[in-house]
Amino acid sequence: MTHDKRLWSRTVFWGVITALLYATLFIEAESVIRLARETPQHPWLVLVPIAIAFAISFTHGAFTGLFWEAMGLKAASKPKTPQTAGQE
Amino acid sequence: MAEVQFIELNAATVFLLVLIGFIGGMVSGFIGSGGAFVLTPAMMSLGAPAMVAVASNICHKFPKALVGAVKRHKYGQVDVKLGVILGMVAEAGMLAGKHVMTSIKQGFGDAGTDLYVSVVFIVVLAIVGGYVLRDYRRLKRLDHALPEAKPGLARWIQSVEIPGTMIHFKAIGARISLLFILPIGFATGMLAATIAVGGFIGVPAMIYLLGVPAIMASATELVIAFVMGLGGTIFYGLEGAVDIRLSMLILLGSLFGIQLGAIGTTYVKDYQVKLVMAVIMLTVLFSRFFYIPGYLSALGMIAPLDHESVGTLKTLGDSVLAVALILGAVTVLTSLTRGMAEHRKEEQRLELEASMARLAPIAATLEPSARLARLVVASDGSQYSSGALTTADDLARATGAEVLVLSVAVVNPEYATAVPELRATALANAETAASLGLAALSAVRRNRLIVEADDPYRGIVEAAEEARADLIVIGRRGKRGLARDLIGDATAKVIGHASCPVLVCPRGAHLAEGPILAATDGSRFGDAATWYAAKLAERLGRRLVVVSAVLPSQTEARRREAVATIERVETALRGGPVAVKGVVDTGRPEQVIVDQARHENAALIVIGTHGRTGLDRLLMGSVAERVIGFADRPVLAVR
Repeated sequence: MTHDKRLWSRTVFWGVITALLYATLFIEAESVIRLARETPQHPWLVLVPIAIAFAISFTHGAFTGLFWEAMGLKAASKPKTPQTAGQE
Repeated sequence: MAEVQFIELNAATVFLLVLIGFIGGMVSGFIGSGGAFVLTPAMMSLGAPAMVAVASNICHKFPKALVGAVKRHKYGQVDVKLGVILGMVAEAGMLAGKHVMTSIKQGFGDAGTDLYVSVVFIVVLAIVGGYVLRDYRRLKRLDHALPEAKPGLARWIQSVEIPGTMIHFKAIGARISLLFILPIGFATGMLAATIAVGGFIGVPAMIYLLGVPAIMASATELVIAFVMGLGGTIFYGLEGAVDIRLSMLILLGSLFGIQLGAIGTTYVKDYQVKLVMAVIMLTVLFSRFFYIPGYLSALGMIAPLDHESVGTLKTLGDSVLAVALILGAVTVLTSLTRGMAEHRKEEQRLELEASMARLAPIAATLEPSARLARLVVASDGSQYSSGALTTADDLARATGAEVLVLSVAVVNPEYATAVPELRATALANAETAASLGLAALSAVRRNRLIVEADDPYRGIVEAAEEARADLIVIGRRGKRGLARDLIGDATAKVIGHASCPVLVCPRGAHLAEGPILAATDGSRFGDAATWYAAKLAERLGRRLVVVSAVLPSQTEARRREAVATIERVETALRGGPVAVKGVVDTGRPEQVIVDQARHENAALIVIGTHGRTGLDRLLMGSVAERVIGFADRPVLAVR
């Protein structure tokens, strides 16, 4: 039970951080578009989308992994039927 | 140059982008890398110009590729040299591909690039989709994937010696001329710049032309994808074509979808995945035909079409695309739910059978945590497992326990479905490792067990749980000086996550004749270890030595506490079947424990761990970690 609680709290933690990053991106959407348009003149601005992509991939990736785990979805483990030594 | 047009975002387009990302991710996770063939056209259908769609797609992919590459590098599946060389050449290919796109855009505007991308899409999807369909029919006949011998073409390429161009690659285990690498990388990059899916060329070329094992090809492709994706984002970013809003909205859905799709594949057969892949590819291909007249008319290459006809054709194309997406989503979700239900039923049945079978022995020895009826020993076929196999065998012969030799086939569902040989190779390797391990045993009751998992530690923990193992026996990596490196990441995680005790054995270990040594700090973890050690000593007919350490810097009160702990243990076990000796010594705990074990020639050390705390680093407690890392004999971690 405590394990579940910890899993959920970690899920919520990364979820909130991800949501905040997304909210910031879209509140600042106009500035971001302006920066993209100005990139041909100021090449270093290309670092902006790269930094955003890294940050959001990291937090959102952590969140989704925990989310499906918390939802109880996991890959099928496919143990083959054990073979006895005699069958070897 | 004309300014790049970004699309207006409203609630509906945001929702659609996230949904498309989700479905694209799900399809990508289900049929292997290459969801871009869904995502790029879908973004174009929402009104994004081809260049923005391709650029934004590349930008959402490269950080994901990095994470994947780092993960698989840990399993030794990545040939970094090959990946970086191919990635750099691919970068040049991308530059050329992007140059073609930019030239077309300058000459013919957005309609020109749209037409170009659509035509490349149709050609590539027709070839790849057709190939996949053929593969599906072959697999369905066989009903399983067979590992294939090294392709003839690869053997020939490896035999060609061109002086001054030869480079050795560990993934191939041979030298290959750079002249063969260059075109592969270039084509991969060119395709990626055009339709954002370079892996369609890269992975098959590495397997069939260079002779790279499939599992390494798909892992190395991640390095290429990262190098290329980062480069591509910079190139397109400099043109102002990366719409980070689109990238991140696609990512929002895609990360959810990709994991769901990957999980879905573990519940279906290979050929079912191939069928879905072929059907979606060919449907997407079909949808592109409806757009082409519009592009041709905008370019003046055919008699101009009126607005209404172009609109109707576009709607038709969009509908076909939507059908492809919905088809993919429904297939993945139904196979997932049906598979999970069947799996659950099967698990319940096995559980019932197992509990019936095991009722008798459990009733005979009702000692839940010190029972030793079944040991699971992990074997990866390497020298590191040898000590674990010998110790497990010794322990099984002394206690009459059954030994299961477990090998984990590390399979990443996302890639294994795209390249079926991956799974077959991983399974074949695991079978070899398990058989070698089994051959090394002499215990009376011994079986082998092969499981598939995306991570070795998860495979071991879950298989041990399913087999209801009483003890996991595992080897220890012996590399550099740090304690964590001595233990190995997988071993540390097994200790942290296993629900039964874990016996960690250094290379060449065996069960010596000496006493059982328990280390305690007086905590409940120490008590658990001592109790387990006492039961084990009784079972094996050995003496028990209980050790408690005091740091030189600690107070006299702490020392008295340690003495009291040892006295408490001695009192509790006095009069029992096991002879007990208590030791309190001053020094660093790990040093005291390891030295005392050597002094007594202990058969094994039993130590308590903290159990799971969420962070891998803290999974077992630092003293236990260092004892396991430094001891020259088996260490049993008890929780």
